[in-house]
Amino acid sequence: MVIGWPPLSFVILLPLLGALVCLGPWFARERDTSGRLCRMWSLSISGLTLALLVAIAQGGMGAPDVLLSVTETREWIPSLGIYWSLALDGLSLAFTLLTCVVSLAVIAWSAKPAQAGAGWYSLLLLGQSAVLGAFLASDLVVFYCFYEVMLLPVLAAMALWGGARRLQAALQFLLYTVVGSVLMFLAILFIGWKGQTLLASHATEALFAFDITTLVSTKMLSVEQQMWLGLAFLVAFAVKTPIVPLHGWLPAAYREAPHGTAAFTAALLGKVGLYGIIRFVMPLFPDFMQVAAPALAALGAVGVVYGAMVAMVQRDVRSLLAYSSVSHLGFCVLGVAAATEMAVTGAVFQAVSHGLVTAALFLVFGAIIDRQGASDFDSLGGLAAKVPVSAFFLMIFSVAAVALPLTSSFVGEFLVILGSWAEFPQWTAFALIGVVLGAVYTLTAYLKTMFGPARDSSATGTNDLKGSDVLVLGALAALVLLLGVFPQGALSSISPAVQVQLSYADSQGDEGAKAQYRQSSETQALVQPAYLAQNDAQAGR
Amino acid sequence: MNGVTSFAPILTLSLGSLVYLVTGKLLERGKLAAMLACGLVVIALAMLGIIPDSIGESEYGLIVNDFSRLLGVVACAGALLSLVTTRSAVEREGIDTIREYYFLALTALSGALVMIFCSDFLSLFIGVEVASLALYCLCGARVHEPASAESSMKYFLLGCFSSAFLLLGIALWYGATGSLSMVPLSTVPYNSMVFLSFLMMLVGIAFKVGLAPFHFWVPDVYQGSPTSVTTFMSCVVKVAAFAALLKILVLGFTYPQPWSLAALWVLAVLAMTVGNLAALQQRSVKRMLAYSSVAQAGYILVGIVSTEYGSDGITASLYYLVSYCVLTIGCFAALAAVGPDADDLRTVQGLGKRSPFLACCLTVFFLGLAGLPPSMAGLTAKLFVFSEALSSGLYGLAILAVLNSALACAYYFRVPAAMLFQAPAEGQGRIAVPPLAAIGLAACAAAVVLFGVFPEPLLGLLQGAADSLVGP
Repeated sequence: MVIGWPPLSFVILLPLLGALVCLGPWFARERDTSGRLCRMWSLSISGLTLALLVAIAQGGMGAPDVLLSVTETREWIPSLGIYWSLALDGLSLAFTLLTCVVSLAVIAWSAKPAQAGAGWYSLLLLGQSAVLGAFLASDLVVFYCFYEVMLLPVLAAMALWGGARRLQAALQFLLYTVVGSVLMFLAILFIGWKGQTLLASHATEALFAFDITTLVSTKMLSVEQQMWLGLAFLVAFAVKTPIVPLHGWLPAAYREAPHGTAAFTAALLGKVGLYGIIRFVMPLFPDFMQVAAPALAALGAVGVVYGAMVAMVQRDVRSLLAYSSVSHLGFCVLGVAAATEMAVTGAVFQAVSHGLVTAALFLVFGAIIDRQGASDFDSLGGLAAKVPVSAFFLMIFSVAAVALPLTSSFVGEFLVILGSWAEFPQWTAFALIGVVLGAVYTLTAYLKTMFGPARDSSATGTNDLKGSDVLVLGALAALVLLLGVFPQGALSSISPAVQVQLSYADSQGDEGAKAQYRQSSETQALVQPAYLAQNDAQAGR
Repeated sequence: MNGVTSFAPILTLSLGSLVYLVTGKLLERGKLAAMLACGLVVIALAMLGIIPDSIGESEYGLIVNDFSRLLGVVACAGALLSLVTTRSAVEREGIDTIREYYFLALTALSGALVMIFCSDFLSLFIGVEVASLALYCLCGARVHEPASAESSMKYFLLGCFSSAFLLLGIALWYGATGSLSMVPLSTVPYNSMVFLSFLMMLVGIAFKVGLAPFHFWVPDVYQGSPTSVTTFMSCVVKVAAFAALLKILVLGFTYPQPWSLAALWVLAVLAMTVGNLAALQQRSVKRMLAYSSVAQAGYILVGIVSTEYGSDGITASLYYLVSYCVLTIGCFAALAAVGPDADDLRTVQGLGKRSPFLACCLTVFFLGLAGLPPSMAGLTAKLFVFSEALSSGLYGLAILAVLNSALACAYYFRVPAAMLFQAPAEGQGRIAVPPLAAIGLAACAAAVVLFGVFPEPLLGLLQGAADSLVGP
């Protein structure tokens, strides 16, 4: 269904506009006076974006078509076949909502880097705009543009307000990502050119064709081409996600970045990589995915265990969070590799849940680190008495990170494990070790910081969280619990979209699969796969 | 009559420049001299717009068609932009020979126009020499500065050397074909003499373009010359030299032979790789930009090689050339606005605090050179050129090019990082940007973004130009 108004572009343009407005006071360098005003401004812009997105999704949802998909296409560079085309389906909706919520949370969070003012909000809004663009783009070149742009505000915030070794961390992050993505750029060009030569009969004189649905429907890539191109795409996304051997940039980046930026990066940037694999790699290179799936599953499972083991020995809170991210995202990778509907749906759900939980953890620990003036476990301890509110929320999110039932992570990990078991029993079993280790390091970290002997820290302020921060954390916690208790709503919107992505990999063409899918979903009245009922039973305990 | 009108813009510039020599002290004041120079360039631009196309073969050695007209406009507009933007920098750099400065700049531009308009090898050589001789002197414009004199001397010696190669190539061509005209080779068989002639001309022009391994003058000259001269030179010389290269390739050696394509392939790869690797090690911003210009010339060559001088590849290359010109003018002009001796990374350190406007502009330009999105022209240009390589099946070249552009990010980011994320060195206050420079830089930045976001109009013009060069 095509919606004319308000178009999807507004979702991207609104934060961009907000960011540009904030640039003014940034350059005027009236830092102290403009900070508050800019915060209110960006809060309202970010909230408005969220509302707009929800409204568009509601509009699309109301249509009789089961597939929630709102699209928008405009000419951009027609002679090259590049179109400004955006699409919102269940998959994008999950990630765009996550983006809006996390951005809103980070903007609303009262603590920001000490010297930052309007610029902080400007960069956050820029980041939000670019990440939203990446999640909505359905033209490969448009996607690539957003994929590159979203790096810049994060790098700038890291380099401006980060820790002592921020420049090295930023450079490392940049090089990892850019080296990964230029090969993808080349692969995109190749695919576009190849697609056009096959489409030439019924298309214009354009040199390329970059629209993802058109490309997928043509099935024009030979197996050998799929291997090379798929690898180029996968490496780019694996750096961003990160998948284990390519995670080298991550610990330093999370440690050196300001806490808000770390929360933003951990919650959102990595998800673009995962989203890219599901959206682009799986349908475009089905044969490649078949070959790569065992390796990917192995990397995912190894990531789960390796991340957990390295996290256990970290002395710095932020390093622990960084490696725990590697571990949790390993589950998502495992689910994507299994490529069953349940596993991929679970992976998406787990990604969203991880985004919420990890953003909250980075924010709370960030506040504690700032107030205590130390970030290693040796100098933090006995804080439960000093900052009871933080301790309370930290408990909720730690428990969510461990994937206890009733939290959203539980649903995600459970679905992934259930869905992957049929495909890769050995790797799924291996990943289960990581779940146990996860409980160990998360709870140990909680115990060390909140209980235990109080350390002699030089911190003067023992003041706890402010009212607005409590509101932010409360909202995030409510979302985590809500998704954990009532996952059906989200799952029934994600799973049809996942099904469509998976159907591209089947031997029949695009239209056949979609038709078949529509038929099956009509018989089911509403998408309600069997496992959902099973899940209800567990969640309702 | 037809042939004579094609001289009009060149005559305007070269006769107009003589005014500087005959008036006494009148034109020693910077403002008036600059106004006259800009006025002359504007008149030349207007003339470029109205002179009619040549009908058939021009007997005066010049040819007017869409290609020469468009590139002429690019060269003149680039010259105008750089003269306007660096107007006050010229004085701050301590160039006290204002009359000579503008005389030489206009002469160089008229020489560049001859290179762009030429239709036989004799006028090509005259154009090259006129432009080069003027530039040799311009490089030494900061007469009290040893580095400036050194760069002038180096440029002069190596330039003469390369001119000799070009001349030898032309002589061999004359021997092989019995004519100095570029046009007919369809009837002449490719023999060893023609092959040698090609190689000699290629070496000569590669020197002027600054392609590795003939790039040794580039870093010294770019660094040693006054920044205002570097701004002017980096655009005008690049455009003219590439126009000459295209004319030699497309008109002279119409039917690409395996050896000529192989030679260009090697040149492109060497230029990209050597340029980028050398730029990685620089701490001087001007030197880094000089090596980057070598690498960028390599990317431009990729488009030309890919389609075997086809019009699509040339369009992509021309688009790259135009966007590179805007970017490089912006970079050097902003550097000139920072100060007469802004060169080492330390001097731009903390520029974000000293002048947010300059830092912002420079960031846009450096991101553009790296080919990253906010300054879309760089990315779109890379997209065009790389896609030509891919669609011609030159996968190796495309992969090398794309890896090179990733490598290049490492040094392009160093400058914005130093500007934005480091504190200024001791005793460096805020910078007041002269209004003309601010307007020029803002125009460059806007052009960089707009060309990239809306490439279609420019692309259409360039396609027309490429078609008129390649012929039906």
